[in-house]
Amino acid sequence: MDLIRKLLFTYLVVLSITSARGQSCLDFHTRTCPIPDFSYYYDQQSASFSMKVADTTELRAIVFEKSDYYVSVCAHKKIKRINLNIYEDTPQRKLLYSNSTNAYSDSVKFSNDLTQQVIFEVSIPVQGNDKDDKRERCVGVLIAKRIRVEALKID
Amino acid sequence: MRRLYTLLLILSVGLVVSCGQGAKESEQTVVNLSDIEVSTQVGKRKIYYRFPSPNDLISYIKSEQLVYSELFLNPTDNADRYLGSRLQLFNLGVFSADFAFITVFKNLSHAAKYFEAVEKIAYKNGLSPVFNESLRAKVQRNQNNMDSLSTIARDSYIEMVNHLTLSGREKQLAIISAGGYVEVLHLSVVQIDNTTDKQPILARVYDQRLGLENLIRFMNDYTSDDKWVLELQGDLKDLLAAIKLGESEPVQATKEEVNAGEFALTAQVKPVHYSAENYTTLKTTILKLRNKYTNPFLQER
Repeated sequence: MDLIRKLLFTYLVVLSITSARGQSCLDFHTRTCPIPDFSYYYDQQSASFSMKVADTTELRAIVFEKSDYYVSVCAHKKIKRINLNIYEDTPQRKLLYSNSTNAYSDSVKFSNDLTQQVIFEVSIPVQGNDKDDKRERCVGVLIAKRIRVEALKID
Repeated sequence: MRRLYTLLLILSVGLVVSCGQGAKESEQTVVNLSDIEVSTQVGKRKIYYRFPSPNDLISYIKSEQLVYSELFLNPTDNADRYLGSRLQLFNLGVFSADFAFITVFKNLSHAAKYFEAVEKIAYKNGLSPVFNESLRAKVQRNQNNMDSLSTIARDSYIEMVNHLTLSGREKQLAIISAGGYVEVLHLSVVQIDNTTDKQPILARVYDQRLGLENLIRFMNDYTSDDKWVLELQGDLKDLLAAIKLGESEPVQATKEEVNAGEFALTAQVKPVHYSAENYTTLKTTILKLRNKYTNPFLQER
């Protein structure tokens, strides 16, 4: 009976740690991702998820016209390289940006004239990371924006 | 002894379920579609759908042509009349959009009571950690400062989204967001009488199809075990079809490099055209849908 009690206790501890770790990823971006200057404000389309080396996550979001965007990515310190690609969310899936052309920079800014669906594709490449690392780790995408003054004059 | 085994079994199931959260798609080959070589790798690909908040939608639609009237809003008396939690959550989205509308138009006289309506429904639905005493005090301290109230509205909505996500209640978030979308569209079309009237606002209504599409896809995860959500998703699909009756030339943005780590997407936005008949269909669809879920005598089935 004592043994079962001990097993149950250990099980509960493991369970709480596992769930806490999984859940804690959900606001990882708010704690870890680089932030822009104060002219931008947080966009609720930002998100965090758990990923491991070789995984890819797509965050499908909306960007508004006449707005400037700041997008940053971040991950657990064991992950050394994050690949961020931005695509138009269309059947052609046109690539708009890849941080692989910019030394895997953790942030990008863009101004946008067209309200459209975009895909923020985040992957943890095998190259540049420990391919033997099989653990799921937190990865975040922070989106911030500012509306340009001209957006308020649409009449 | 048997009770202990049962408890262990329940915990095991719980552990499996909790580990599965957030994984939207199974393992598959990931092919990098870009021209730029990163690497073709095998791993999991997950897809998450996101959509703007009511505050963002209102700020987007806001223009000199959009006017404010309390008559456009859902009366706050209704807040006590919604009986089921899903209907309450839908109307939490509605009142959040109304509150955003009020703050954008800087109408101080109505802000407090609409915040109270939001707070009341939020409290009933386990969101008291967000809409707590400290937030209430903050609202009271700033009730004569519309800019602060506007920031509070935005921040509290973000807090609510974070709270629901962190507590694994994304279905509730989907319902609240649906209410927000329907109300923002209602606040827009209720001011547009015909297709030549207020064309820029109509164009921005047309743009809402994009976020609505993402919301409908986001809801896919919650329709299999919930008929109410399935019906709501069906209504949103009808709404989306009505919005898509608008016609506009497809536009593609052109990318211009500004410098390393900075680029611009430029485009010449084309006007949107609705025939008189199609606009009537759109307006009727929005008004009927809004009435269906905000009518105080409608009870959750």
